[in-house]
Amino acid sequence: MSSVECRNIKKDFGDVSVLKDISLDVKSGEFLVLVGPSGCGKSTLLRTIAGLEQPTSGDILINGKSVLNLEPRQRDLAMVFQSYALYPHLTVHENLAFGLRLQGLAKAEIDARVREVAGTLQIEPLLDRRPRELSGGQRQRVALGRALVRKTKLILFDEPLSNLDASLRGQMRYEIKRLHALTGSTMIYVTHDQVEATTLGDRIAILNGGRIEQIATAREIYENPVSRFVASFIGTPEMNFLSGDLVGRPGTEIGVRPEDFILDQGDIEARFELQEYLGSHSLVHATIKGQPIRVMSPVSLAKKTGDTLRLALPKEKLHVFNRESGARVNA
Amino acid sequence: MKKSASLIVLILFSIFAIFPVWYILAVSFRGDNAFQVVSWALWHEGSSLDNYRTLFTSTLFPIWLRNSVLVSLAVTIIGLAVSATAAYSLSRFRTRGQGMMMVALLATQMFPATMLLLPFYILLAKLELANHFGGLLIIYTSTALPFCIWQMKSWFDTLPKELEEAALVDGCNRFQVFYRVVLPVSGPAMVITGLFQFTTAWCEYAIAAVVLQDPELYTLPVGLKSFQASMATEWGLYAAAAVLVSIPVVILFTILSRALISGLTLGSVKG
Ligand SMILES: Nc1ncnc2c1ncn2[C@@H]1O[C@H](COP(=O)(O)OP(=O)(O)O)[C@@H](O)[C@H]1O
Ligand SMILES: [Mg+2]
Repeated sequence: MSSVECRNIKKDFGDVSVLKDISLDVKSGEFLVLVGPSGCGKSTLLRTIAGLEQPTSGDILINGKSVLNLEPRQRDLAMVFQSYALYPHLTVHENLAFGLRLQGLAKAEIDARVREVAGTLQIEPLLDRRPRELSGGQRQRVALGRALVRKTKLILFDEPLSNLDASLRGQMRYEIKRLHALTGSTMIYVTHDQVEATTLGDRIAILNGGRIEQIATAREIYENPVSRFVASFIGTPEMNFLSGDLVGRPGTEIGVRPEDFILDQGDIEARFELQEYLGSHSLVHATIKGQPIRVMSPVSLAKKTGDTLRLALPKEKLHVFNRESGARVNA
Repeated sequence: MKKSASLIVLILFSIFAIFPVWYILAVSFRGDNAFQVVSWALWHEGSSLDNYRTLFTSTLFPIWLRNSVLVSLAVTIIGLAVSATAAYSLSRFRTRGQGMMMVALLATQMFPATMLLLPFYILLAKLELANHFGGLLIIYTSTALPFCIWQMKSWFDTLPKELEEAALVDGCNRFQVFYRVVLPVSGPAMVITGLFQFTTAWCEYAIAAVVLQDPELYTLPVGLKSFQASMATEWGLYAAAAVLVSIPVVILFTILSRALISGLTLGSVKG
């Protein structure tokens, strides 16, 4: 399995600086997720690792060796594209066999490997079809298969699930996680979806404007976000941000996750607006001194618009951020 | 109302388009002097296949046919190879002066090839390629190239770049990407471009008439014209030859139009 190291990667397109000094260590066998809003440079970073883009400066090491002078095909990696990019003139079988043929493997060996992967992904009945005869979900599986069949030590994913509908997405998420356990390959996975990020990644790197804001486990990021941006990006529903004056900390913003409020205690008075019944819990919309907040309640509240809601902010779960820089302030 | 009106228009235009073909066919079946006969019938008394028989037995037609096939095929193959590779590199690699290059290619199209006849002929004479297929090949391919390169480039510009990137990651070098992925999905564009080159070469008269002097080297259009040169034009032979000359073009267009419609890239990228 491959380790990947990015050292001070910068990438400019003309005058536009897309990656600004990215350093990143991916351990051998790790599942690392790169997450961030659209346009923050995730794909560019991934394509730089693949060798499809040259960094303006910095170095990329795979297994400790610089690969800057290697072509993509010499880097022993596979990639799944957002658009799938299946070869339209080839059948599914030929799509999967494409890379193996280039390696000059024997026909019997190629066939065995294709069938093994087709079995794992349950696409055996599709082997004779062409990409245009497949549904979106099926194409997605074939694209996965094409990446797996070469048994590379590193697999890169660029938003592979973003073109699928929600239920299929959940199913494929599970599938990819299973394939990671099965192959043990190092995987780097780009997404803008925080649910994919937190469920899939051993660690998550959060990108914002061409910089990495935080790399840590999902839990670490959830509990100790280093910035207001990270705090707002991870966790659903999104964290509430209130003026620090509320707790006597001027110049700051405090963040409270909707699930961290304690209801019917404490000295903060909020105005109840409405609630959304979500089965296992209710999402309560309220305002504190005109600032809107969302509160997760385990039960439906017997309140109507305008009623007063008593809330406590548990001290150990407050996140404090500098109002200007957005950086975390230690409590 | 609207439907029947458009039907009438269509029928009129069809007659307009088909009439010359019909007429040539009819003449080709008649004797030489039958040109003046006014009749709508395709086949009437005295009609026969004699003209076709004569063409193959006592004229140079079979040799001209071979010449035309050779020249047209060679032009098509060389032209496709050159235009596809040139267009691909213009489409994929950003180089300085690229815009200029594309404009320059287009600019050459502003001069009709006949205008260049004299300079071409002088060039070929200096290269000792006059009265030689090689000379014809050079002129045909070079005059058709600008259009073909533009055509192929605009096709390559529409191919998703992920397709090629997937192949690069899968183990291809640049050249393998081109011939294992780009060319196979470019069927429709290659067909159109190839057809264009084949038919230009197949039908071209003016240049061939100047370059080729030896009747044994004539291509079909020049050969056909030579029927007219003799004292009395042999219209029957001329018509029969004209029919035979059009057949391959008609067949090519019919077969290949299917390839054009199938739209090969569908389904590569999400859809
Ligand atoms: N080839 C390119 N030329 C110019 N700008 C580019 C190119 N590729 C990406 N960019 C720009 O770089 C920024 C980051 O792009 P990308 O890495 O695709 O973002 P993400 O994948 O995070 O949505 C975008 O603003 C995009 O417009
Ligand atoms: Mg992207």
